[in-house]
Amino acid sequence: MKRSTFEKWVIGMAVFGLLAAGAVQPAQAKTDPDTLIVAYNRAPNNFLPGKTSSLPNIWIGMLMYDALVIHDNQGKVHPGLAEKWDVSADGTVWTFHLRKNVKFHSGRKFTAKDVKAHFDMWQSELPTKSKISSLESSRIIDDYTIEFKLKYPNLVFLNMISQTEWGYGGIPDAEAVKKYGADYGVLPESISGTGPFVMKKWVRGEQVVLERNPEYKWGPAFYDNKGPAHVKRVIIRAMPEEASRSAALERGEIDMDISLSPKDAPRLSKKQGLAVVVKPQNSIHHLGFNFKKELWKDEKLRRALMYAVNQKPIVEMAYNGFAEPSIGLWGPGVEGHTPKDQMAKIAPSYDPEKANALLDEAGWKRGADGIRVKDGKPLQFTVYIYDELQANILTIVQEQWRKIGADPVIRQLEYAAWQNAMRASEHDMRYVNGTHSTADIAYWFICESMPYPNHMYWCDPKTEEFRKITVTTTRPEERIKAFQEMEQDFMNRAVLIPMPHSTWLVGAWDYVKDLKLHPIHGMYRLMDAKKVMK
Amino acid sequence: MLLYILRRLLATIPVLIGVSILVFSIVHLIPGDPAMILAGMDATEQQAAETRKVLGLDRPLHVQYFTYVLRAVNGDLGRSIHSRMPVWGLIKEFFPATFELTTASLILAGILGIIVGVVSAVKQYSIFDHLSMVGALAGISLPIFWIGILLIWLFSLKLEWFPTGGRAIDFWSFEELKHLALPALSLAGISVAMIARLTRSTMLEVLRQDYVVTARSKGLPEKWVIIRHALSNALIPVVTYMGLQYGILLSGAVVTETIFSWPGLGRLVVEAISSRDYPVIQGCILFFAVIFVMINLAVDLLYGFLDPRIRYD
Repeated sequence: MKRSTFEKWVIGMAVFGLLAAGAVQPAQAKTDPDTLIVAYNRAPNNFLPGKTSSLPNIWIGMLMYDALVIHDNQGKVHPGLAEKWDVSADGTVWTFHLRKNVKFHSGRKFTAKDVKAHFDMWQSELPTKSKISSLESSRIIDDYTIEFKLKYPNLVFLNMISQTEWGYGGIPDAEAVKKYGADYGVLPESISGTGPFVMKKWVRGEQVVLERNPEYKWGPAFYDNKGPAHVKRVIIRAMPEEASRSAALERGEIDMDISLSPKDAPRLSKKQGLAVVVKPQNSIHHLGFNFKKELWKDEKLRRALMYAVNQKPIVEMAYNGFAEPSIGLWGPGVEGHTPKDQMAKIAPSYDPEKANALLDEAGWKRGADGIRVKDGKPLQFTVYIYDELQANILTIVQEQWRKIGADPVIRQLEYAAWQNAMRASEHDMRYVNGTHSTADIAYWFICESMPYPNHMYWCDPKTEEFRKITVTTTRPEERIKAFQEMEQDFMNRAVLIPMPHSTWLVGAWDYVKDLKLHPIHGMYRLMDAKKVMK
Repeated sequence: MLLYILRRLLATIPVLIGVSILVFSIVHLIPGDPAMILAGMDATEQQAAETRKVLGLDRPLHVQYFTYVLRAVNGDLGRSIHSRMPVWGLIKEFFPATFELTTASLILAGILGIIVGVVSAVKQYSIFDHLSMVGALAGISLPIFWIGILLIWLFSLKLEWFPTGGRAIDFWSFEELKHLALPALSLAGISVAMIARLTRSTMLEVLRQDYVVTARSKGLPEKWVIIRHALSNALIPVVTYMGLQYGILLSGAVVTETIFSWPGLGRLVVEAISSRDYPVIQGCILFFAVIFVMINLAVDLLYGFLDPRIRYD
């Protein structure tokens, strides 16, 4: 049989494609040795510190700005733009002595005027001003000294103005802010900080190009390198699709994927030349009850649901092993968390038999379909979630709860609609994930924070008392004790169900050295990061 | 013809008013509060209320609408709630990428679709006809995201011919063409299939017309009969489809833009919807509406060139 030209062409192309696909060698990195190319899953949109709570803005902003103080990777506070600080005996006056010879990217000298201008703006008009609600006023003593007066003694203040606390305390060039007005932070030429990297080019939605600040020599003490960064240039590419990011990493188009999916991590870790860097997060993932609902007044029921949750399969299946089972609320790296051995005596561990026994005791009897019933009502409740990872986790939890006779209904909404549902108290339970720098996130559980962010509607005198101590004491040990007691009380009374602590996952070529991941932000200031290519 | 164009342009005014009312109502009706999102996950009700006041979202809806319309008439589409960037500035920054992607994809789809459609019609029931129609069916049925991932796997990861995504920093360069190839191909899939099927069916109909038989009986070369007499008449529904498709692609390339990290308007709108960035959603949709109307007008004017019997008086 004679083949037509078209048939020959089709067969030829197919054979060529298969041969070519099979013959290709593993990809190698092709990036410039002086340029670090980082992929992130979202694009930034504003670089005025404190203007938004969007993560890409915060992280990239940290490369361009410095704050007065900064936490190291273990949570210890170090001087940043302030060389040192004093606190008055009553804890309400904080005086910061600033570094001299610090320059903005614009070439202007950094002084106390810049600090005051930023704090005035932050306190009065930025959407994140709640972080410094304890601040009454600020006063310039001289060019390199500034004083903050607080409404009440508050140790949290130092955390809130630290660069690690979402970067809101990063100090922009006051002259540039004045000159550009509303356009500061959105026009690339407007951005002027004192950080180790300078904005060079910003293709919105696509990439940000930062150049090393050659004059930088005021790096925090906990970095080996205090001077100009090792890499000359950092390019941050916005790549929303995880499969595309991992393909770009494998192909060597990028050096790092800093929002690596747990799905891709095992495969990439086996690739020659690629490494998966893991850092435990200070996460506060938990399932919370809506205490407005009568159902949860029964502590035995809450405790039974706690006993029925087995975190091991969640870590293995939903996180592909890249998470740690949790027995408390606060992250293990946070000051105020209860030591694990102590908490293990309090927190309920997986025990379905105990869960069943508790439900029997509470009067929940199994119906013909296996679902428990009390006073004619089935043990049915809704759990509101807002992302794919939560859906994967809850599918496992749902199965575990069904085994003890509960029938949870999972409702996945997009985040904005989820927020509305929380405020309207539509949910019976809800899942929350998040990371935090300090246990001060305890204000999520106080009466004043209802309906948001206290969407558990938990209003309890004991919790209020703990919280009061944590915000007013000037003694760090008393603060830590109050946080620990609050956490233990939550577990004792089954107020919420802790869920696995997640990890920061970074996929990187092995020639990228000294990344030093941070427990809150994952990637941080890249002061020590370098590319060592053969 | 000028009068016709003017009439059509005037007719867009009520369309745009309707679109603005509809979009404004819908974005404010869907659950979600931009102030809550902007203030952060841990913001309290009071802080969100303050943010709402700063943004002017605490005013009655009709006041917000008329303020918006008055500004829009003066060419000010407002500022993004989240980035504080002027909406028109955002559209100007993001639209070129979308325009480039959709235009390249439609040109690719038009060329491939028309060639395949014509050859299939001329060689009806041949192996080419069967294969191309199976291919067209596959093109319509396969989801874009799947095609996109497959293209990345084969052409980027295995063959290393094209980059996995992103738009080259140096626009209008060979590098840019390499970046454009896979997203354009992925986006063209459905359009190629539809254009091929449409061209084939209209060509088959036209090829049976008396004037085609006459042209052949006059002894005109077959190529000339097909291209000059049959194709030009068969193209009218294809051009209509391409015009509509262009409008749809401009606003609907979001999946391709996401997979290939292409910084286009589709991604901007989707992100704006997630964060309830009302001014950006409204501005972009109004912009899409204007573009759609303009494309339809251009398509209507093109009929006259394809078929001289069509007049606009």
